[in-house]
Amino acid sequence: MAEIIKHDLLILGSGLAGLRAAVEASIQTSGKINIGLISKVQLMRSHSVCAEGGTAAALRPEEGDSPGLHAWDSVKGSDFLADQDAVSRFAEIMPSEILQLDRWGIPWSRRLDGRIDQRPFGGHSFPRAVYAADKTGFFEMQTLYDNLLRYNNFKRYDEWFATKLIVEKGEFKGLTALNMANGGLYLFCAKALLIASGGAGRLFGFTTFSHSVTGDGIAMAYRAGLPIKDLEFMQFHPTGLVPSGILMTEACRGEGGYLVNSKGERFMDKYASKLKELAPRDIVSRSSMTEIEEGRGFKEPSGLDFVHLDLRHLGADKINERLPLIREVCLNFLNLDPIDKPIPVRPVQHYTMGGIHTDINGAAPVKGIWAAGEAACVSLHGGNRLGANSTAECLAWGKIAGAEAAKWAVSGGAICEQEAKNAVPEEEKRIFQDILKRSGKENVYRIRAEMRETMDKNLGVFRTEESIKSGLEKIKELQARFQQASIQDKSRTYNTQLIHYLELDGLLDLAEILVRGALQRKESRGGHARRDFPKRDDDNFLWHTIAKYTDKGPEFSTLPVSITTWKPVERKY
Amino acid sequence: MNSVRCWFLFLLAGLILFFIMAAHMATFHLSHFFGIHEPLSYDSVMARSQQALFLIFYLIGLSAAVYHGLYGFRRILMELSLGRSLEKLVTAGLCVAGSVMVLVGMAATVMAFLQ
Amino acid sequence: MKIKVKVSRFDPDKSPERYFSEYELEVSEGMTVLDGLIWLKENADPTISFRYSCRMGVCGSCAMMINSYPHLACHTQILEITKSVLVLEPLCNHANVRDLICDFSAFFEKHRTIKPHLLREDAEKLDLTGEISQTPQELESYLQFSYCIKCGICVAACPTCATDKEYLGPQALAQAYRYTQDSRDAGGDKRIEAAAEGHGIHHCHYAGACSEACPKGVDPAFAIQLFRKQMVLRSLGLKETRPPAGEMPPMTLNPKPNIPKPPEPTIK
Repeated sequence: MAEIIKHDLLILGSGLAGLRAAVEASIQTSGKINIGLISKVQLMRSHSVCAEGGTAAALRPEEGDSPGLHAWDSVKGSDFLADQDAVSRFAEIMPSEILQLDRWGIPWSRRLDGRIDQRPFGGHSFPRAVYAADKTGFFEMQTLYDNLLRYNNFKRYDEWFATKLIVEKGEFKGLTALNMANGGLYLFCAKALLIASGGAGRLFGFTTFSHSVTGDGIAMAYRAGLPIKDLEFMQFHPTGLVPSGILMTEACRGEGGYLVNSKGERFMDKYASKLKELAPRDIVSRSSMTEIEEGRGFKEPSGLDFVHLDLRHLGADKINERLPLIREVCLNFLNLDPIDKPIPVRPVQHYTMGGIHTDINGAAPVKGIWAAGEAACVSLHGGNRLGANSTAECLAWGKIAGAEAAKWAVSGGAICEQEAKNAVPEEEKRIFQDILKRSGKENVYRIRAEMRETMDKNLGVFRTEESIKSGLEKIKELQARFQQASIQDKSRTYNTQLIHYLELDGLLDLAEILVRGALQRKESRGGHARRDFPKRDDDNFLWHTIAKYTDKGPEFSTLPVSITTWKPVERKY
Repeated sequence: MNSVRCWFLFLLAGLILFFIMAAHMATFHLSHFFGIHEPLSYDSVMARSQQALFLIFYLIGLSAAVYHGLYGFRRILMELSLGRSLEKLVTAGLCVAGSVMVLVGMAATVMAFLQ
Repeated sequence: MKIKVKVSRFDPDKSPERYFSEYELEVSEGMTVLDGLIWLKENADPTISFRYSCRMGVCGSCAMMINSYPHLACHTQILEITKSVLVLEPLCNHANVRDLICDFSAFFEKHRTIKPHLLREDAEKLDLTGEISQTPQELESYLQFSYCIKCGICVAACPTCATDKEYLGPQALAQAYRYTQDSRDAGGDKRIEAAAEGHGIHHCHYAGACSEACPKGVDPAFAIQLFRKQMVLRSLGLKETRPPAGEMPPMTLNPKPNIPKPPEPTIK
């Protein structure tokens, strides 16, 4: 029988949202709460460290910004699918989060007089992205991690992979997790659980995401019966480095960089005459892709045709001071210096707008479970997230949900290990008998590669009925083949192949939700652009997609969008 | 701050030794330039020992050499991961050994000066 | 171009022995060591275990010995290292637990002991109405040292870490300096105590290997020297202890041109 580990509060995921929640829970309870921090990677290896450009906050009312304007920009950017009450709350809370991190020691980039500096970002009508060079996410993670080390009330479970969420009668009971160091399965029981395990970017092959971003938390929640919201909305970032997909931050354009096609034209003039390169990402990505598809891109042997991101006119000093990581990456991976040459980029999968459905406090519709950050869908981003709003969301709902979950854990919740225990033998059998001992012909990595190829090809920037349907067919085929996939590594110690298997198990579920969601949404909105339905259709599709697990695949329903301030209008930039 | 001061003394002792070594080289190995042909003979050693300048030179040099040497030796021993209690013992032992060396050396120097 | 890849293998479940597995790898221009390893895992031998995540030199997961030097696998192009044999081994000076994976718990614990956060008496009293002042020059004085990604490469390169398991190491010491140097910090004395006592900063031998190996340009050896200088000056009372920077007053009204107002609510 698996060993039982008990905590007041479990936090699954150690990225920005998870760490912010852990710090907040510690503060709110004066360090009295007993936290378990479970992560499949070591602390500080989470994908949040890759966030580059900035964190949006209406920090300067004196200069004309306001939370109201931030909210409006975000709602308009979301293609009016964002829940406006959530957006307003978010915009109000952000300035204090920026100052809070300043108190905790983050090296924000500064103005000459010592005040926090901000830079322009796509879709924001005020330069409100607070930044720390082009390593904003990295420094935010470092600051939160280092601050968490003040407290002694948490225990780290680095490199523990959560396998199953145990929910009974609408209440959280526990979760099982595999300790990668010794291969043992353990049962975690707690009063509250906060899922902050990130998005599902590695559904795609050409993506800015770290290899570890495989949507495990979303998939686990889905299997446990939690509703998954708006998963068909994937953000494509306009500037992914070719061929690796590494992110070239939007700050490149915020600082003044141009997008140029093979004819030497700044093509964004055509698509967004006012904001040009600084239009929201969905618009810039669609424009870039149109240029490439119409033959005005640069040819690349592997088929990843690209456009140019030109920073040369910014000059060496500005590039070195404001975009050091961009230069480092270009030099390291392409032997190309952006001071002298334009950077080859094309639209790249970048963000999961959807996720576990939560209310405005980050609470999932299961007693005792909260979700925050990219794993959750509040919904702040609607159909399209604005740049610099993701790290911001992690901070805002890390704090909100962390505090709420902590409050529940110290006052209301109870640990009920008996019911959780019952679920363990089945999970032990699934992993150690069914999966590890299976001898099938299929290869986990082959299936994973085919899935990514399918998603890239059929559910990219532009989708059609035909491409989505053939994508669905392929995903169903892969799901069937996956049942025959075997694992050659039989070791208990750091069996990374087993972890990859478990990740893929969840990814295939999520792929199906995404594809089916995309199929039924016959309109173009934000990150979901259909060639066959190029217009937004508020009459028929102004709702959130909800997917729930059944044995036969996801069952879909809808949820109204919370429109509390602004009625949808046409989006022009 | 104690360990910082000890380390600073170690640096200072090293600096002093640099000059003392220069003087030492001059006295013993380049001495024929100054017209002294047998710097290590009993007479010339005693002659030097009875000058006040050399007394100060010897006392400072002795303290600096013993401190610098034993501090460095202790650092090497510490790298063996001896455990806290053994480390304390080693430190105490070296302190005693150092003190004895300095006291014996000082006594000899002072006695030679007074003779 | 085809090269030979030798990967150090160790699986305590099977045998206490370490051995090398050899593979052939087709290498192309620009291919990183991590690309190569992933290709081998997916196509040649799924049992090779190694850590990796961001593949862009930020997360610090994939540090390993590459032809005997510590590097990030994702940050190293194969053809810049070799055109014949690539040898991959676990990081030196960290306990190997399987194949190319090492245990980092002692490393993380050392980072913790140097109090890596701002320490100031008035922390609780500060409200969140304004930022703490920090000029670009003040920022510059510690910024480089905050680039640390905790990959463990400096420790693998450090000769003192090789012999002294308790030595705090270049990573922790550089971070101690980074926070002490921050104009918002007032915890210098406490951090100096943590960094100098026991197997602390004075065990550094000035080898400078950490700075040469660091993939992020942190230069821990420089931080250690600057920190030592500061320690001595403080202990001799030659450096004034400055009060930590305070909150800035509110800004004066200074609207930027061309900033729109949010549209009037169209509901209610």
